[in-house]
Amino acid sequence: MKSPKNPFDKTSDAEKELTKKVSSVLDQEAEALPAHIQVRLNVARNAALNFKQDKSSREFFGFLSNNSWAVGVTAFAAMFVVVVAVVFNSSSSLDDSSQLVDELNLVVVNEDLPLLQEDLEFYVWLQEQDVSDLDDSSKNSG
Amino acid sequence: MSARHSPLDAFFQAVQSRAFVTAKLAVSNEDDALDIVQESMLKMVKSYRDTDPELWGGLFQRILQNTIRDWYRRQKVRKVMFWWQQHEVSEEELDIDEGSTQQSTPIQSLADTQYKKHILAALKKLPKRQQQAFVLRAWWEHNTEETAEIMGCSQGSVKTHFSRALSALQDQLAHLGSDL
Repeated sequence: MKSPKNPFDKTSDAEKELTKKVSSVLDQEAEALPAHIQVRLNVARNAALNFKQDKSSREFFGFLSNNSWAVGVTAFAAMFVVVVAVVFNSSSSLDDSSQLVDELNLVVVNEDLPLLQEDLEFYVWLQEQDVSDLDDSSKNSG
Repeated sequence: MSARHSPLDAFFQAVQSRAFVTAKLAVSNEDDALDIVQESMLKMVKSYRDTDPELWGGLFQRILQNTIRDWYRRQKVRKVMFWWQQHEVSEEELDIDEGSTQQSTPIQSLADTQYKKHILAALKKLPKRQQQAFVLRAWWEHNTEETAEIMGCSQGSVKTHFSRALSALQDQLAHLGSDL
């Protein structure tokens, strides 16, 4: 007995036929590209094939990938230098600021010196006056 | 061995025209399609020059499709950023663009039949994922598994996209009748 035909067979055949024809059109498209497109594609292909990474960078990255310990040491050294630089900079800036405060103090102290000196002379004079007054009063009383 | 006569050169020669047609179908622009093919070749050389040549087909297809996807993303961003400029493009500029595209369209450089035009137009109208699935499966003859890998989706999704693409093409080309 002949098996009943699958109802989807016709659709499936139609789809296969459609797929075949669409593919055929696309093939024709690809095979008959205009000359200027073909030239540009060839130029693009040659440019891609002739691509070479910069020799020095390739050697450098090649070295890094082959010497992972060196990468670690280099990274540590770089970090150390950065830390030292930061610490040095921060301490020198502290020195700078303290030096500035010292200089400012010196300026202030120097400006007060004559005043202090005058005051001192005044107190010495006052003391001498007191002493002489005491002497006079003792003579008068004597 | 010089690069010009290397196995990779032969591989590129074999696929470059099809890659261009694929890209042009996807982006509808000749210059962008050329850029996409060149970028794909360059990525292939950079990353897979020394891999097993038997893998080149799948790798190149994946690179090509990713590059097309990147193009869509860039276009999307560009549209968002410069939407106001698009409104300011004059009619004259649009005419010039359209003219230059038509002049260099492969369709018209070939045997210029209505039949081909309709088929290519129907392909261009397909949603991108359906177009991608159809072109990869039907034209590049990748199996479902390979297509799924290239498209970055499940095999079930590939089957769905492919089936919908077929239905859409049948609907769009129904008026061609017995020619199909």
